[in-house]
Amino acid sequence: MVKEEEQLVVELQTASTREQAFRELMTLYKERLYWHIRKIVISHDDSDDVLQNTFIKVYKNIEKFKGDSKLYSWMYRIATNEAITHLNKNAKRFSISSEEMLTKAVNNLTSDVYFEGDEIQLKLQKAIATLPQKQQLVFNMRYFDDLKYKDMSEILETSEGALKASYHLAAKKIETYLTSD
Amino acid sequence: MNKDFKHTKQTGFKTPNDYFNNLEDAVFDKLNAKSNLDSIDNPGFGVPNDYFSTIESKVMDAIKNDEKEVKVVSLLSRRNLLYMSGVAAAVVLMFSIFITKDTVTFDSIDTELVESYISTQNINSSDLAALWNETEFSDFAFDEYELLDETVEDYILENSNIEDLLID
Repeated sequence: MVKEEEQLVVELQTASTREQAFRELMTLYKERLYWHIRKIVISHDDSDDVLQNTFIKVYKNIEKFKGDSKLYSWMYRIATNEAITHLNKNAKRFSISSEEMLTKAVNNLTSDVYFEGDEIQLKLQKAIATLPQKQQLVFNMRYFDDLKYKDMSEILETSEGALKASYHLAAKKIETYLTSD
Repeated sequence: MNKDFKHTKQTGFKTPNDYFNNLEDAVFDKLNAKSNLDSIDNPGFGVPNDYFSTIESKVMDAIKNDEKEVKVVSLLSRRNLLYMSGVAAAVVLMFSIFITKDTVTFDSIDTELVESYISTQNINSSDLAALWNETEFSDFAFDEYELLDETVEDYILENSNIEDLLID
């Protein structure tokens, strides 16, 4: 852990400084976590819910954080799990699979006021939605977030080799989808 | 081994017509091909104006509201109902001894009646705790109550956030 992060963790785990430190933590990471979540759940409203739930969970469990991974990796992992759980809950509500739920969300982008993408960006979202869930995560984290494989390995608890293979496969499938009619 | 076979230089492989004439063009085409992905540098999502400036206060408000709700103790857990029904039965029994000569047994008390009494009388767990002493508690035959796995699962799913238990 970076020294500044160590200090932040100490303050987060101390009752008297927790609230102020937590506000600093939110300011530092809100946008990165939001965009990561958004790429999983697609809609802004769902992303807002998941982001808040993620921070609440971080706050409630900060004392359990042992420092054996980076703080950001830990938070990223919570955000990922919260986003997937949210997707699964919505799917259950509509009695459909989470894959169908994601496809539904992507198809709704054409009428979404918070989607500013062009045709190719929409097609890319549709392409990503056809991938297995893990490949979607790996692709988004590598392609859009530029995360190093080492950091992704910590977050997804998967070996770097497997992640590289996963990314390569995902990129190939997406290229094929983008060049198809 | 056949001597002729050992000394032959011909592999027997063939190539399509003009393969080597077209090879340079084919290689350069591939090198210059622009990936469709290369043209996309962001997913195209947008957010409402000033969205990010409101996150901290929304989350802190949610945490504070959550902390207030946790202090409210649910009366309707099965364990609480068991304690409360025992106490209510004792109270009813006490009244029945003074008011009527008829003998009232624990078995004759309707559980729904007891639950309804507890709900309407606002009996809380502190009140119940005050009625039990340590001896009575330790004498309570918990072992006699065998909980089915299904019952435990239902309780956990209805009364706690399972995701909290899964975070390491």
